[in-house]
Amino acid sequence: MLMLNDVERGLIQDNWRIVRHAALMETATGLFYKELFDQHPEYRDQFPADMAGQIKKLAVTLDFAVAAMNWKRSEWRDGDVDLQQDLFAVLMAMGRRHALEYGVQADQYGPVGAALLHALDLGLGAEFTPAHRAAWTKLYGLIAQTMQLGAVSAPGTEPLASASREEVQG
Amino acid sequence: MTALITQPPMFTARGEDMDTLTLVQLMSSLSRNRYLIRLIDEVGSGPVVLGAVEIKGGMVLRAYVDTITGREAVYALLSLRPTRLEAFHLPDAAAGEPLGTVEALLLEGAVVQDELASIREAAPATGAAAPALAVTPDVPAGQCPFGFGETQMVVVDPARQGAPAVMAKSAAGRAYVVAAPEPEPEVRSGWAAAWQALRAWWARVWRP
Repeated sequence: MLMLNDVERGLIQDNWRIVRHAALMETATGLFYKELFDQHPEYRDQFPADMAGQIKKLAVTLDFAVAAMNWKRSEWRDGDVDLQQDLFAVLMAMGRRHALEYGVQADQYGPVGAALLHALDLGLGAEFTPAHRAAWTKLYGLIAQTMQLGAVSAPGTEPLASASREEVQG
Repeated sequence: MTALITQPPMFTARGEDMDTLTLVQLMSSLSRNRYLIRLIDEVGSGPVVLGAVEIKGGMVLRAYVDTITGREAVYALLSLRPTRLEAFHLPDAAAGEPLGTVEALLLEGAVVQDELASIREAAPATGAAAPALAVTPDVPAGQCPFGFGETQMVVVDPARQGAPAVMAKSAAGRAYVVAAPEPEPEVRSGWAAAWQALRAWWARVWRP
């Protein structure tokens, strides 16, 4: 089962709360890119020379993703949002853009996920338990699959194509 | 459900790129918005809507496959292999009682699939009671949404049939009869009803 349950959502929220309160968001995303380029130097050319802006954008995007997941199953009746604020729709648009504009391939999602988990492990230390790792792994799997779907699907209505959220590469 | 669709799809995915089970889980995990997924097959002269499922916030609100609705339709949807999926973002509306959580229905659906698979595997043995059963490897494989393979596609002469069977035609228009055993008594009644309805639906869909 791919789906995140309430417990797993809670574990992700707990971790991210620590990252936010300790002002670690950009540190964590910096660690992410360091790990990614250490393991896959061939990806470096797909990113700008100055990574500062990139690191900040990834932090903002992760913050948005985690915040968008902050709901419990019992709240299913609420929460209808504009597609430009809907995590599923935003990820679809990001996946399409990453494929079309940055040439991201499906086989790059695995190394990116591994680098993300590594960065969280380094940044959170003992707070990143096996249960937290499992929840983040599941979340990243959902994100990667949705982005890959966005890359291969045919867009329909405009909100997806014109999603104005600040999107990032990586 | 179809009356609600007055807009172009939010996106379309090819069946080879995405399956219904995965798409339902992605949407349900990442969004609380109300989505409708429509399963489309290219049959004969044009596209055919096989069915649809409406979800919101991890709940299945409604589903249908042909004339089947409710939970059985969700189980049936998991059997289908559409050539494409169309997704629609629907405006939120006061939702009635959902059919159930996505997780529960998908798990139940998996059990139903296992039941159907065991029934299919038992088909030759059950059909042996009928006269002149013959396996015809020339029946197009992969055409049946219930996953009949070549060696499991049991065909009898309609004039001599003696077992429960469904008349149908292959995509090439060749008539055949699929021997389909009655479900075992211990099979839950809802599943049995779904199976019967699915057999009838399958026969109708593939009749030119």
